Amino acid sequence: MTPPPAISAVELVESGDLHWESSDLPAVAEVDLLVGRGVSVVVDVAAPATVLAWRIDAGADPAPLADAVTDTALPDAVAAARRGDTVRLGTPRLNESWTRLAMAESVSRWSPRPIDEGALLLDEAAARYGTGNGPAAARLVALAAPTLTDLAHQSLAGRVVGGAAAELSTVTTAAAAAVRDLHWAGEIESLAERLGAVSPFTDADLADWMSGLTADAALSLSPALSMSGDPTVAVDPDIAFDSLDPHAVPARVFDSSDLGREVITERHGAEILVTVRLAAHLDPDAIEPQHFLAYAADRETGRIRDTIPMTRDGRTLVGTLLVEDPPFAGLTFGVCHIDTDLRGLRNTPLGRTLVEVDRLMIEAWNRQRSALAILHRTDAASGGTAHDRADAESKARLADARRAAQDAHGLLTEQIARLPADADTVRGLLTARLDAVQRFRVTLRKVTAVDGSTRPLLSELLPVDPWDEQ
Amino acid sequence: MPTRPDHVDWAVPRWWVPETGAQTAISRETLIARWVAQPPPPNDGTFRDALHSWCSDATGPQWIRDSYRPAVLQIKARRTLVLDEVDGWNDLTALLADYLDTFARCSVSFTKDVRGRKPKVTGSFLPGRKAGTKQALSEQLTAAARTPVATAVRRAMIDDTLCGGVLESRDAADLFVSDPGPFRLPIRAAAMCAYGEQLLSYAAKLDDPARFGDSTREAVDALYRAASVIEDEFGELTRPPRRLSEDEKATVSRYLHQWWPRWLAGEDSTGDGSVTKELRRGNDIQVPAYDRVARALHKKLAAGVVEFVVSDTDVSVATDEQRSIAAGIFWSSVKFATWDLRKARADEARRTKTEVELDPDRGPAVDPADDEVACRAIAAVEPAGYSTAALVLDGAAHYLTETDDLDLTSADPGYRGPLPCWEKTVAIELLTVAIDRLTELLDPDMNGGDRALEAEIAERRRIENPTNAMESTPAASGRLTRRLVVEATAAAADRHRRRTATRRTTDAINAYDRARTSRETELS
Repeated sequence: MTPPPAISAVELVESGDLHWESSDLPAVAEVDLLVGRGVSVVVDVAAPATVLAWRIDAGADPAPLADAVTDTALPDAVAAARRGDTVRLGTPRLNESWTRLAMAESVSRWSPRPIDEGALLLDEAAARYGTGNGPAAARLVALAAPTLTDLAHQSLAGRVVGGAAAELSTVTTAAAAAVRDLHWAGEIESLAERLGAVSPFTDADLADWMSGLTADAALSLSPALSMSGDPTVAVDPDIAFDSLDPHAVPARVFDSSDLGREVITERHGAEILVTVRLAAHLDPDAIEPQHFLAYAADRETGRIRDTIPMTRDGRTLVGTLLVEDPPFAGLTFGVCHIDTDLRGLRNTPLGRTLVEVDRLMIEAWNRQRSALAILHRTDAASGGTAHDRADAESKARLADARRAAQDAHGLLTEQIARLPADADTVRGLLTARLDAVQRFRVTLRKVTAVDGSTRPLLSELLPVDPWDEQ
Repeated sequence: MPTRPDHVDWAVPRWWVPETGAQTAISRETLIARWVAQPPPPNDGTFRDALHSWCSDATGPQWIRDSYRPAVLQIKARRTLVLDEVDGWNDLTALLADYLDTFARCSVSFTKDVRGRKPKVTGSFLPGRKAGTKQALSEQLTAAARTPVATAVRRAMIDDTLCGGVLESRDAADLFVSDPGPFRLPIRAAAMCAYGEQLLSYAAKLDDPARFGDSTREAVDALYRAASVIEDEFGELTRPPRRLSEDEKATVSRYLHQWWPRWLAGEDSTGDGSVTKELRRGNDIQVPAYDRVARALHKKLAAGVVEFVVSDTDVSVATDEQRSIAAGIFWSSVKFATWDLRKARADEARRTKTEVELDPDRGPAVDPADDEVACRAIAAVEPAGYSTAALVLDGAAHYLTETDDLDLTSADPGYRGPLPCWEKTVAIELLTVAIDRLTELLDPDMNGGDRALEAEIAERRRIENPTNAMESTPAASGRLTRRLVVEATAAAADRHRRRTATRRTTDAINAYDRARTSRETELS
């Protein structure tokens, strides 16, 4: 049963901007979308069609939002709210094109598994073209043109099959349309035409495709899925392990095969060496190490004790912190991107638990997406052992997703029970989160039929090789 | 018989049978995967792909079709199809061992070689969504070295006798297998040139100030530089199609204006009657067809296939052959436009009336001004960090001034001395009047810039000996002050960002903890 849509009042802030915010919290994580000049929306990656919040700057035209959520009455409501009237609105839903873009942005910002970033640019290009933003789409196609050419040739040679081949063809058609006025359009158009005839999908193709996907999964998904408890406990008193907060770093930069222990810290006297490994598929030259800060914080109060820009040593980033007074065991360590507001870092015991909740929820979503990717298109053909295998594999991913979400639910419930009686605001927020997690768990009961806009992206269907230094 | 290389001595009839659990039935996909897994290296996907491509190419020449007929039949079957054809698989084994393994190893060695010429993705190669876009760009340069180069190497080995002409005859193939050495240099040059051309083609797409502003400048320069190094070393590169000038586009329009009625009247017709009938139905076809013809002629002009001769009164093409190319474009464009129209009508009929669709004729839903915003979202501003951007620094000083000392993330919540504390006043000073000294100390090229700043502040505290220091030692004061600078610049950069649900929760927790701490301190 779907709960009734949340109704909230539109807020007119001092600057003249309008804010609308749902009383619902995201189950997994938020992603922001610009739908027009001065107009943006926020959605939960777990339900990219459902708008959690929107903003319209003073003087901005509300029409792009009205189009994106297919609500012709919205401009009048906005006008009334701008006059200062009290306007209460329900939760809007993005149309298919905007949902597709939200899907692409969600994977871009939050997907923890290695992804062909070039293919992701093509996904975004196709999605932007779908929303009517041809120029932005053309730019992305230009940026990802070599990937498009390479994938198309691989597909024509039979090396990209099944759902990926079909999605590649769709994406290439959109790409060709987006660049039709550019002098190099012919190149993309001819690829689109040749990919237009996608070969039928057989059991053997499916088996082949799955073997790539499974190998990829083995590489990226850790068995230590539901690890809870204190990750810092280590045998050697001079070594500590900590989690990376996914809200403080970009996705897919760091190796997460040892979930919850990505930040390795060693004490040498007053000097503390913090190390994080780069993800296996990443070109180490593609990141700027000084854009990451290593930090030490007090385990109880969360107070930041030291920060230092990191440097790169091969495939790791390192930073040497100096902390004298509190004992090593009283500290927690982490790495954040340099544009992270330090006030947002979560280093208190409750904050660290919430980091674990977020990680579990992102992992649950990741596994749900990969279960969908496996099932994508398998219903088109009938039976066969490969389809049975795909079905079993997909169900296993979904079971993992359920377990992760259940663990997150358990952690949250426990924390809420432990809150002091007077912590009302915190209790309200955590309870709203718990409700969102519960709603998401309902969607994990079975792999639901994929609707058009949330079907797997091209980049979700392609295996990724580890980075080759050669 | 060719001399087989020693490393394929395991390739005997039925070699795959023990590995598949005594099954003789196998697919070409699996057979080749198992082939690739055998020593010596390479044992990767590149080698596998090369073997598959060489298999496809091998089905063409007559001498192979005569000598390896069962193998050719296996190659022509769907590659994932499991077949119990022992003779066919044995014959394919022979073809691979005799020739294709050597050819594929050779072509793969060059595709790897080429990646050594990949321009480095460094500095602000392209601004982007944190690490994602840079990684994407690095992947582009790898992708450009993959299939296009592999294809070029195979084409060179097949078509160019200097590179072996390996499928030309059995003699040529045998000569190559017995000693590929003499062919290596020309093949390497072909591989390098193919990569150079890919770099040029990519550069031409990014070299577009109207679309990218300055953001791709550095990337474009790096690509042109890498291509020109290749050109100097390995010979001239074919240029990708260039962008046309407005004058050239106007010439094409004039030419179309002159010739359109003549084509419509049937001149230079390719003789497709059904098309002429459709044409009379009017603008539904002519308008999209006109677009198609214009774009096709732009491309032909850019590629140097057609050349226009312009006089005051007349525009024509240089040769009769070009004139028939232009007419051919007209007639095929009309045909495609007709198909598109039919497809659109069929789609329209299928679509339910209630469904809301983007109207393709309405033009972009986002105007170019909005697109500029979208562009900024893509090419997001580089993270501020220690940025000396006036806006951020101004905001940073403001943040420190406005935030109570004990509410600062870096502060010691147990401090009960005079306010503001010494460290905060020094941090504000560094972010305002002493900004030059701050940037000098934090210069990323200077080793230990952060620690140098701390040392200087510690020294200053020793001299000033303030009574309102939050920390007990000069060294700790130095560290706290620098942390405040970091905290303040990050907070200032964050000031216009929306508060996420996560952040609101964190703020609520911190606010509660602070309130509790101050209550407890008062009680004690």
